[in-house]
Amino acid sequence: MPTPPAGEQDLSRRLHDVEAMLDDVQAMLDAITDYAIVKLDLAGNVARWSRGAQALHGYSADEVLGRPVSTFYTDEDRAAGLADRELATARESGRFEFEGWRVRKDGQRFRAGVVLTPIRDKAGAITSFAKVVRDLTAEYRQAETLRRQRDEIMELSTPVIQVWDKVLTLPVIGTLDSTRAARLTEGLLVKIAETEAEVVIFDISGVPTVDTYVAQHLLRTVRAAALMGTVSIMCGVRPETAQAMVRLGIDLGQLRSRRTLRQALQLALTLLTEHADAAAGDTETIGPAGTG
Amino acid sequence: MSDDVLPVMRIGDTLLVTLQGDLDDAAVIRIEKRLTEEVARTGATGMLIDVSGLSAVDSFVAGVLARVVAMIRLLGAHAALVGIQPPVAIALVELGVPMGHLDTALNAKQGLALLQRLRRNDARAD
Amino acid sequence: MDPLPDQVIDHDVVTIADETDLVRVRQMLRTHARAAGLSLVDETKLITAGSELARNILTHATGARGRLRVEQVDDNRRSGVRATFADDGPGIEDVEAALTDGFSTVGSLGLGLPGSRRLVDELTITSSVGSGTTVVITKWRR
Repeated sequence: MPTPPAGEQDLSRRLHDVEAMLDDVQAMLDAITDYAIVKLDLAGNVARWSRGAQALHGYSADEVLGRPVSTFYTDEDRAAGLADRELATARESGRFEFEGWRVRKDGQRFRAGVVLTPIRDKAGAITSFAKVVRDLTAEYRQAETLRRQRDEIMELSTPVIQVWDKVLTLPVIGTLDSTRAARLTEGLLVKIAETEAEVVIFDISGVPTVDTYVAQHLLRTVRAAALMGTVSIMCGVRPETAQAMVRLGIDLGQLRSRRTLRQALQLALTLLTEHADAAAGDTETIGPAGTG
Repeated sequence: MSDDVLPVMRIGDTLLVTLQGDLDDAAVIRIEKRLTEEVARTGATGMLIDVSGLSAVDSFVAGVLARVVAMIRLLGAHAALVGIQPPVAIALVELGVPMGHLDTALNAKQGLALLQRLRRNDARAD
Repeated sequence: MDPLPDQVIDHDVVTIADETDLVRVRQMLRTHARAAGLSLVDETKLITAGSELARNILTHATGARGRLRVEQVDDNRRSGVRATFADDGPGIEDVEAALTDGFSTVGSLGLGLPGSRRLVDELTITSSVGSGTTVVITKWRR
C-alpha cells in the first residue's frame, strides 16, 4: 500500500490510536460479566447495555435499547413509579445506591444491588446516567436464613413452658437485648391467651446480671401480663442479684419472689386454689331469690 | 358506634358489656354514661367490660375506662376489664398509662371468677 | 380495603381539626402499617403513638391547623412507616422537658411524648414558641 502524505499519516495514526482505545475499553466492559453496566438517557431509557447486563437480565442489547428502565422492575414497583423516584433521587443527590427486586427476561426475580450515578457534561449539567447492577440474591438468601436461624435460637432460649394447668414458667436464660426482650414478652402474652394461664413464674436464675434495663423489661412484662389477668412470681434471685437490685433502687412493686422454682410453684398452686375456692364458695350462695 | 348497639348481657348479678370497633371520643363518652346508668338501673354488683374488640387503646380511652370503673365502684359494684389483647397490653405498658389499680381478667369466664373473689373479700372486710 | 403487603402506597394526608379526625388518623396508620408488613404488635404501637400525637395537636394547638402525613419508607435494608404530625400552634418551649416522663402542662398525662417515643423506633421533634410543632415518627419492619 502506498504511504499516505505526512499530514494524513498523522491523522490516521491518531484515528488508529482512538480505535484501539475504544476496542480496549470495550474489551474491558465486555470482560465484566459479574456486573451489569448500563447507560440510561435523561428519560430513563436504556442507551447502552453491557455484556454483563445481558448476562444478568437475560435481554440482549437489541431487545432493550430505547426501552425504559422500569422494564426490569417488578409489576408492583412499576405501578408505584419506583423507577422515576430513583432517577429523581440520583439527579438530586448526585448518586443513589439501593437494593431491590428486579425481574429477568425469563420472569425470574433477583435481588439487585444498584448504583446510579449521573453523567455530566463540561458545564455540569446531567446528560445521562450510569447504572451498575449486581446480583445480591445469594447474599440476600443467606441473610434471610441467618435471620430465621437466629429467630429459632431465640425461641429455644426463651421457651414458655406450661408446668401446670394455668401456670406458665419462663426460664430467662442469658442476656437480653431489646429484640430478644420484646419477643420474650410477646411470646409469653400469646401463650397466656392460648393456655388461659393465671400465674406466670419468671425464673431468672439463668440471667448473669440483672441491671436496670433487665429489671425494667421484666417489670413491663409483668405489668402487661397483669393486664391480661395474670399474677406473676419471680424465682431464682441470687444474693448478688438481690444486692444489685436494691442498690440500684429497682422497685419491683407487687412482684412476689421465691428463692426456688419449687417454692414459686407451690405459691402458684396456692393462688390457684384460692381462686377456685372463691368461685366454688359463691356458687353455693347463688340460688333462687329468697334463699341462702 | 352508637350506644343503641352496645351489647349488654346479664349473668346473675353481673353485667357483661362488649366494646367493639374503632370508637371515636364521643362514642367513648356516651358509653361511659350508659355503663354507669346500667349498673344503677339494674342494681348489678359486678360489671365486666370486654375490650377484646379494641385493636388499640390510647391514653384517652384508658382514662375513660379507669373513670368508668371508679364510678361503678362508687355505685357499690365491682368492674373489671376483660380481654385486653397482647399487642394492646404491650402498647399500654410502654405508653406508660397507669393501669395497675384496675382489675383485669383474660376473658369473661375468668372475669366472673375474679368478681366473685372481689365480692367475697368485700364480705370478709365488712 | 386492606392493601396487600407488597403494594407500595405513596403517601396520605389527613387533616387534624377535631376529635372525629382521630379515627381517620388511626385508620390511615393501620392501612400503612399493613402495607409495610409490620407485625400486629408494631402496628398497634404505631397506632397508639399516632393517636397520642394527634390528640396532642387537638389539646395543645387548639384553633391551629394540624396535619398528618403518612408514608412508606425504605432505606435499602428494611421498610417501614413514617408519620409526620405538624401543627401551626403555639409550639413547645422546652422540647427536652417535654420528652421527659412526668412533664405536664394540660391534663394528667402530659403531652404523651415520652410514651410515644418508647412505642416507635425513631421520633424527632422540631418546635419553637410561635412557629408550631412537627413530630416525625418512624416504625420499621423487624
